[in-house]
Amino acid sequence: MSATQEPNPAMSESRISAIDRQIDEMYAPQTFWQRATSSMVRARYPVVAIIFLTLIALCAILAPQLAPKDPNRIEIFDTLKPPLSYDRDGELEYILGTDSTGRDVLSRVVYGARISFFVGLAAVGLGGGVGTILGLTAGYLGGRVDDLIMRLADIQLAYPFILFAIMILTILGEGVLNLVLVLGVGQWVTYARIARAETLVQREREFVEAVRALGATEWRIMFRTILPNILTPLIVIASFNVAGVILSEASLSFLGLGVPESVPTWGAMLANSRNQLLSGSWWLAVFPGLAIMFTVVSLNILGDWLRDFLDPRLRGSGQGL
Amino acid sequence: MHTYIIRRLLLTVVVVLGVTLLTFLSIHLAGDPTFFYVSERASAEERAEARRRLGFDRPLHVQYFDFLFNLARGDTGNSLTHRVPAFDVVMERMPATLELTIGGFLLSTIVAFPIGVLAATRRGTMADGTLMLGAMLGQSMPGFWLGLMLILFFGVTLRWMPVSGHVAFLKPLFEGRIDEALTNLPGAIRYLLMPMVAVSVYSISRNSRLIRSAVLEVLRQDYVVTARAKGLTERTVMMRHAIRNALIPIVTVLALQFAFLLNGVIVVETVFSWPGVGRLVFDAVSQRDVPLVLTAVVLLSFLFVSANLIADLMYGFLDPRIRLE
Repeated sequence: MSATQEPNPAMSESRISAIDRQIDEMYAPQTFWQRATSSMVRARYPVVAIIFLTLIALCAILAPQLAPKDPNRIEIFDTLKPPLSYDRDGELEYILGTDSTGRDVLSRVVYGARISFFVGLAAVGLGGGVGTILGLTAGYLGGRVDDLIMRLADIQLAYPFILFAIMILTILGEGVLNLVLVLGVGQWVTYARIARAETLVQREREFVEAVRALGATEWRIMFRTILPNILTPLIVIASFNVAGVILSEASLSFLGLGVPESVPTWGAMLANSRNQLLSGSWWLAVFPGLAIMFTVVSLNILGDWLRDFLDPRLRGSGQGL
Repeated sequence: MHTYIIRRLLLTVVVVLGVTLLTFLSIHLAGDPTFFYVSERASAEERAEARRRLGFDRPLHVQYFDFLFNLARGDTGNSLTHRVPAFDVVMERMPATLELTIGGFLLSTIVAFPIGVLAATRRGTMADGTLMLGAMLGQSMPGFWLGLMLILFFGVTLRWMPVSGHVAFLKPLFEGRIDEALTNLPGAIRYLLMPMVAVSVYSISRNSRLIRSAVLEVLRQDYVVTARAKGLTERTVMMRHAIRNALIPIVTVLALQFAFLLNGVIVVETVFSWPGVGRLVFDAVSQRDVPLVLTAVVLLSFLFVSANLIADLMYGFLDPRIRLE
């Protein structure tokens, strides 16, 4: 029984350093993006969602290049052509058919992505920004400011959003910016409530005390110290919120409120399809609806994953669903 | 408890007042509503005369307080387009909207419960996966689009269901004609079925997911382990211990669903040409019928706020640990 171990000749210096490297790699702290990617691949669905959303985003950005036809071009001899219609030369002309004025459904669906995407992101940006600032202010300052902001939130919550939107849009008239404004105003309460609740917790933490002791201004404490620490749940909510706003935009366009008739939107396409439904022109109603559904479902799947990845505490709290 | 109810009721009044003010201001911000009640060629004097007759010449706050005082007396003024009291116009349409909202509410609760509980008890199985995937899809489709698809499939292709129309049930019931209401019931349900599904698809999906996570949360608790350890049957554990406690978060969310449902109802009414308040408000806003819009919005918000209040009170009833102060 020898107390000392013979050096193993097979373990050369280079081999030992190779093993060291491997161990280092195994335990190396992963970057945020590495962890995000591997978590996403493990969950599978989010990958599909990202691919689909990228496609839709491409449609939105490159609509003029991707759409086979001008979405507003009227062809009176080609009205209500079913999907996969061929022209006289036997070439596939209308992949998704045409509507009652002969406009190409595929081109209109491609162009429709523009409004949905832009309005969804812009309204969430607006509502999220305003809501976060108001919630942060209410939570940090407390007192009268808090009361005022939160009562405003209560009033808004008691007001059926669609009534508010119908009223404002009828009054302001159509236009993309008005649509963004109305939908943005509709969202602020959610962000304000969460930002306020989180601020109330963070306000009492020691690092805030420390920053204050260092002589930081109130402004700096609110936006440089507290804000970064309350962002996670707000980001999770925002991802679901884009989906919700796209659905609301579709409802408003369906009611004929929102953007002018010359701008193709999925909601307005569905509104037009209603008159052709009884004659059996199913493609007018099916394709824009599928476009909405797949976009929204992708955003929801992404939101679910983001919540589990960033802040598993929120799981099952019903937030953002 | 009593102070709590009183405080909540006061808050309700404040909220409804805020809603009326908001509605009132936004209508007037749009510009002079007189414009809609005179012909395009009207002279300045004729316009001034109409403005005076309609009461739009008075200061805004006078018009607003006038409206509020009249409202408190149950007088909402005449609708400018229907030329009868606005309250009556809205109430005429309210039962149809209520039918759709209540129907959608019942459907979403009745269907979501078994789905949520089943998915929770079979967590991680095929059944759970399929149900939750379905819920995800249901939550992602616009209700009015589902309405169109139902019309297309059951109305146009299969010809099983009527594509539009309405048989009154609540209206005769409210007016005391119970026999008529009962005779109408089968027809009412037949016409209600498709709009009801369209209105509630979002809520069904959302509720199923919430019920699933609420039940899962409770199943993790120590008292459920204890109940199982005592040798109770799984059925008793579920019914007596798990579901009862899972109800608390569920009930709040269910009552808040009224908001979502009402939003959906207004759009779905358009799809099925349903003679409800949604269509009425839409038309009234475009015609700037100020008294009618105000009345409809106040009544709808009141409905809304009451549902939320009931939810809050149910909370304390279901969970004696919560003492409302």
